[in-house]
Amino acid sequence: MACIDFQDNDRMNPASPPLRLSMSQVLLCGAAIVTLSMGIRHGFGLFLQPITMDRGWSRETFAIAMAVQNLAWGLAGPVAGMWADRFGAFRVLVIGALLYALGLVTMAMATSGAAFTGSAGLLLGMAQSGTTYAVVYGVIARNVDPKKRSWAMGITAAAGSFGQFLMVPVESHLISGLGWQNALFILGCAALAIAPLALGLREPKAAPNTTGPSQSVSSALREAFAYPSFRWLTAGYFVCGFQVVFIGVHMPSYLRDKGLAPEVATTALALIGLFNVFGTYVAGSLGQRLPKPYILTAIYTLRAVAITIFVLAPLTPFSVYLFASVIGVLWLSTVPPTNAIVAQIFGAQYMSMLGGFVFLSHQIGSFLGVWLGGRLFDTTGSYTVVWWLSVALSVLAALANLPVRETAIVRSAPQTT
Amino acid sequence: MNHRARSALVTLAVALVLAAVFLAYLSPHLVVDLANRVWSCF
Repeated sequence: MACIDFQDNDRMNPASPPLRLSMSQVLLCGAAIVTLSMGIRHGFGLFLQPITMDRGWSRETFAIAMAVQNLAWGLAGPVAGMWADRFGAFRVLVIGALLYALGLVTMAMATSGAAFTGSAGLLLGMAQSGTTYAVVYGVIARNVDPKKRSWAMGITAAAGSFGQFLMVPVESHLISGLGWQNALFILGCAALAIAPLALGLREPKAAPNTTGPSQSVSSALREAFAYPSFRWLTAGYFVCGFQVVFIGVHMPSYLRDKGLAPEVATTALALIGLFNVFGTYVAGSLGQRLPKPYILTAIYTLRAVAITIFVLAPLTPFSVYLFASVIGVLWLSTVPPTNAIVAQIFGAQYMSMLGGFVFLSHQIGSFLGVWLGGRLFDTTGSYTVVWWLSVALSVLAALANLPVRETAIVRSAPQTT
Repeated sequence: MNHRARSALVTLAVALVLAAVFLAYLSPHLVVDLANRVWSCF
């Protein structure tokens, strides 16, 4: 097995700043922030029924707002990342926390479809772009030694996975006990907790002679998009988004169509959430020992195998639980290696912005996973075509990650234009 | 407390928290509530 070269562009640069925040501080605060930001949004589906019934809206009104939220998250990601790289993650996280709270409160108070789309869609999408992985990973990349970076990203991703796992029952209890509007107000208060946590990720300003930008935003973007490994990585991440959201959204109705009890679907979702925590942590840890492109290739290959067996094998509660456990391990396990590769190739200076661009591809895949899942089901009367499309995309993603080189890009001279 | 003991304690705490959350999913009230909500989406 090839050895991993942990050198990256920051550590290779003699003028690079020293690590400024302690790793435990970055991990604790980063993990808590991602737990909140990823967790709160994960239970939004639970609000569909009470909100649409209370307001007299169609489900389409709710679905459009969620689609806008996902796209806004993806589209705002590079901008939030660029601001985080330039002005510091702290400011972006605080603004993100305020937007998150504002979005949840206005979501509770919206009385028209347009206002709901603006709050639950646009505001919350932008809030998520400022409070999730890309922004936090920038701080990790700048403050955690490259030898521990993938592991640290795995810890943070596992915290986000745990947030998703935790908040579904919490939000269900809040809705049942206090009503959906009060539940949203409480979640808004919880989102505000991101702001004080962001203090732990506040990076001190370094002396300009050692940390002045060695590369402009435009040249960093040109460099990244001209680099084949970045393009392959971005293409692979599209498939991750497609599969995860297709399975998360459409699997319950697939199981219902096959005549399985509702409890099977909820237990499957719980298993996905539980094993997702382990999967993201393990993938991050493995990234310290094995070449990360191979880890990604293995993840996409295993997804293809798991889906194929699931679709071909007789469907029983046991087969559903087994599939949910396996796909749970592979669920967000792509997040740490993908982002660690970006940091390793290009360095930490524009990590959040470049991570935001890779994530945009993920969100476009997510959007297509939901939309195509429904569209092809309506056209063909079953999910069979989408399952096989998912397998084919997985094989392509596995192949796409094979030529990815994770070694630091060689820059002949500092670029200033 | 040495590193190994601390690591074991952290692992145990994480396992307990995960088990508690997983059990929350399996409580009859929550399962029925979640199932109704999941089903009503389709």
